[in-house]
Amino acid sequence: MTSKSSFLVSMKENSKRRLWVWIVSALAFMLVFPALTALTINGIIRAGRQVAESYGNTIAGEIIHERLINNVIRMVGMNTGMLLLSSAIAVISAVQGFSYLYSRKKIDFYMGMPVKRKKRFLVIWLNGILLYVIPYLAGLAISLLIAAGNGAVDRSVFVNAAAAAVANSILYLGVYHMAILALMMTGNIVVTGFAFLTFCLYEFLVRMVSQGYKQMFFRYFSYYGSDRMPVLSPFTMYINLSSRFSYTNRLDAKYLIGMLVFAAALGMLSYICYLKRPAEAAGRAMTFGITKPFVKVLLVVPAALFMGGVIADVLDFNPELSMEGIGWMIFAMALAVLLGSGVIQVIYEFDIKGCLHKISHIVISAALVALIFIAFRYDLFGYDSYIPSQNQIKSIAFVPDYYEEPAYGGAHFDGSGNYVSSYEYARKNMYLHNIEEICDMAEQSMKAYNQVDWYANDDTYDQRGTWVYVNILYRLKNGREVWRSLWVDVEDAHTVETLDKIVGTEEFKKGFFMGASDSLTAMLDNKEGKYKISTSYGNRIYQQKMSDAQAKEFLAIYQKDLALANFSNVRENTPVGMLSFSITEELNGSVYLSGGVMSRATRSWDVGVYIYPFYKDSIAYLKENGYYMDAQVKLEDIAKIQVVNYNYDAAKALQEERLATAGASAIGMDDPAVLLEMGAAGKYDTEIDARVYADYTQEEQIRELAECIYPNDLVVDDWDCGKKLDRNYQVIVYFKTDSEMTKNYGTDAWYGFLEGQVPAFVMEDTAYKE
Amino acid sequence: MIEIRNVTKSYDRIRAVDNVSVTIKENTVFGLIGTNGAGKSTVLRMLAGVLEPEKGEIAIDGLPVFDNMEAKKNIYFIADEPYFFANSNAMDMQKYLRSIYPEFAAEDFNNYLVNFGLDKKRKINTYSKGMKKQLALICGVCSNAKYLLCDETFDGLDPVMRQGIKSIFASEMERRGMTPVIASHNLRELEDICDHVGLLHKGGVLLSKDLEDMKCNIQKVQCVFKTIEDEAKVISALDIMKNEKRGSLNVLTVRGNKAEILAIFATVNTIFFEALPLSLEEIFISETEVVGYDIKKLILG
Repeated sequence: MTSKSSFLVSMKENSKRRLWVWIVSALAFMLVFPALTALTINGIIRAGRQVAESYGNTIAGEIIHERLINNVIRMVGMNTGMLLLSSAIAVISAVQGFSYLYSRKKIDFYMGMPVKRKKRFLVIWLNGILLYVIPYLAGLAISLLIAAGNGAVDRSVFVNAAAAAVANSILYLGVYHMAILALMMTGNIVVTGFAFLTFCLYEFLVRMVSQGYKQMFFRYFSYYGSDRMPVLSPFTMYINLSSRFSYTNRLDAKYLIGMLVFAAALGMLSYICYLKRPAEAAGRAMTFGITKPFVKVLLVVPAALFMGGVIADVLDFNPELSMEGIGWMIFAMALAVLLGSGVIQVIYEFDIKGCLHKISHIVISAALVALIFIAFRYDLFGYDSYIPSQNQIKSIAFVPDYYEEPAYGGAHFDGSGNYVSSYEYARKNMYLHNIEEICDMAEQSMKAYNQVDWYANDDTYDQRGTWVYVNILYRLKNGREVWRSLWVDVEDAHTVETLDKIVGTEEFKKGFFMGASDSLTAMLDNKEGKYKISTSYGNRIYQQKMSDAQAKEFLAIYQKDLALANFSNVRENTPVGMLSFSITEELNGSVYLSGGVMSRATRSWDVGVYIYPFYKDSIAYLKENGYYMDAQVKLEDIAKIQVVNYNYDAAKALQEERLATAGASAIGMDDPAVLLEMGAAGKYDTEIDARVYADYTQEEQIRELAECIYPNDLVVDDWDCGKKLDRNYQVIVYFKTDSEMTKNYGTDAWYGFLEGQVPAFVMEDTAYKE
Repeated sequence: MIEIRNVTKSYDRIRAVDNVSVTIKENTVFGLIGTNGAGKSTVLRMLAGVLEPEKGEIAIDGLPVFDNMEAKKNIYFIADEPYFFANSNAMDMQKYLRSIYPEFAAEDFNNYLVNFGLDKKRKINTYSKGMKKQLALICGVCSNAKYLLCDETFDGLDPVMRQGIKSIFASEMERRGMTPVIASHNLRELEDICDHVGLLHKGGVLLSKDLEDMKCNIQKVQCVFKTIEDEAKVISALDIMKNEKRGSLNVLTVRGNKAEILAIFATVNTIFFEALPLSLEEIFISETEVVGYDIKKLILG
């Protein structure tokens, strides 16, 4: 057993051997870090004198205090600079501590001494941790003292500093162990460097290759659930932890424990490698000969596939269209296998002549690359036709792409009040159990979609259906989550029937519409919470504030009415208005003077809830409380309505005519194929302007127009392919100069006509005439 | 006692030590002889617990040595290129070794430094190669470890220093039973210092014998016989390893103890007879020739 005093003596002796690392660490953390904090504080105080001259001492004091707090938090909290510095010190410390393993001379000396291997490891390991922790904590304490001396400390500073101390230390531990493991598996510094980079980037490379190939070859691949960011990386874990902290102001236990477990696992692995490491490994490329072929093949295979992917990108390779370019991809992959294997073998042997040794490794790598490529190309594992069997599925989340999300109002919050994406929201909240219907629809839709020849150059375009994109999460009973994308034809009667059943369920609404959750009511109730919430009703042009009490009442009524909504009735109707929630979070930091009022920097989100004509109770409430509008614009406010018809069809015809008579150069395009493709995609050369303007000031015309125009923000061309504005027309409403709108909103607002509802006189007035 | 039993060690499929068995008795100076690549350093590194044998056992006073502190605290290993901490001086090394070897003789260390003319404040990286070897030996001796393993440590030492080291070894052996194990590729380096010699060749042990035994068992005589019959009689009666004839003078290397050989010579008439001292080199030549090796090619170059 190691005696305490002998251990301390060993620690002291080891510290002497790594004095320069202690000095570097101490300089960085105990000198540069506090100095930068002091300089930052000094800069703010000096700038504060100007603030005091401008705003007076009382206001300036508050502004300066906020700035100081904010900047001190930036310095002492989790930040990129500390991530980089901690990682750099971790790598230096690991390499310096264990680099004796590279040298036979040093190994003979150290390992000849009567010191147990585990004690030597423990001494070096612990010393490597202390040389970070002590200077860092000391530097942090000095920085906080400097901040306190300048009145730049409050509870939030301490919370951030404490969180950063924990997170940075665990990050250090993870990177330190990763560097030690790289060192234990290799025999010289250069190869250790490669190994460390491999540990850092390997998962990212594999994920990128996997995602790239799935995207290239599988039409039902869903980006969601396919993150490129590595999971097994202390850096990613730190970034996730830091980002989570910035929202919640507390360290997320899940991420923290994950980081700790990962660091501990790396440490344990390093220790085992240390115990198993033979002394004769000094100077070799790889410590354990048995790992050589595995490492080589595991590096070469994804690297070759990556090269193939790069070439595919360069050549715009699209297997759905043609296989043109596949030869170049195969050539690039073969070349990468040869070069990769050769380079690694040269590193293994430290001999350029080694590049052609171990042909068997080249053959195995090439075979694996070919196998993986073929597996993607011919979908050997049935990825693109996979629908889990119904009895395996526990529940499903059905996440349409951009559905019922107003242009300003698509935010989602989780149960803890943290902002999340709509996909993450659905993942956490949507548990559909009409499994049979969804699976059948998925199967039928995939079958039908696969039969459509999207690249056929014929006149069947209009018969191909209207396909929209949706992501489906199958939650399996074994705990696995499977994400797939799906295209569904919203013109197909059977599909629409199924979509009605899906969208009509309470589970879908709870899991997709923020307005259906209890979170908004909770925010309205919690006045002391971190979010300030304000509510209004209107169409984004005419808006009326709603009190919190009314907002809660109305929300409750809306949630009952929402039960009436399904895919078809939402699709067939146009909203009469929108309930808007503006959610604001005040941030620590710069306080500024705006219009004589002190304001604070904020972060804002909007949640919008469409009100449809069939929400009878909601409309009744709006009418009862004076929020409801019969039309989308009030006649008494209107001075003039101007309609602009872009006449896209006429522009296209004109373009084709010019192309036929004068050639591509006449309209600024030199490639007719590109031009035709643009035309098919509905893009037109801007030089061909077929716009026609019409101004309406007569009361009768204005009355007729006012009844059929909708604000641009209210009618969104979204997933259900329902009612949409005619893209040929733009309607500009000019308000009277003495109207409330001009005073409060602006002189004009942009509207549009619904498709098929353009008044005849407007069509006539704005038709294109040569 | 150090016991090496059937020890084998390979590097990347190259067998450096092949089934070696040697016993090193306490309080003797054991010389490990061999050409470059014979496996001397590998044997010493295994003895020091730096390398782990693939097969076989190494026991120091009955204890396995690899990663065993009880065994290793009795060992001090001086590698062929001794390592000293970067920018350190002799006193830094002393402090470190005192933390490792509880019985480190600090006073002796200082005295030896003075006696060998080594400046204790001077940085070791400014020492000459020979001075570094001296310092390594002083460190080893002062560690008070029972077994001092020296890998090519005497190469490059001048005769005065060698003599100094020899006398230190002698006094330490007498005082505390120190057992030096000295590896060298040069037979002449060990001639005047070893009690027991092991000869390694291509990873295996050619022989391991006590030097005195070898000396007692091989005799070298030069003589002139009175008659051809006398000569024939003696030659047929002796176990002659080598016979060089220069005119009428016979120089014979003969296996057997001295008394028996003298008794045989007493039965014939000689004009001239003289028993000659044998060098270690000559003993080795004779011994290895018996087993079919040409030692001159192996060690003497």
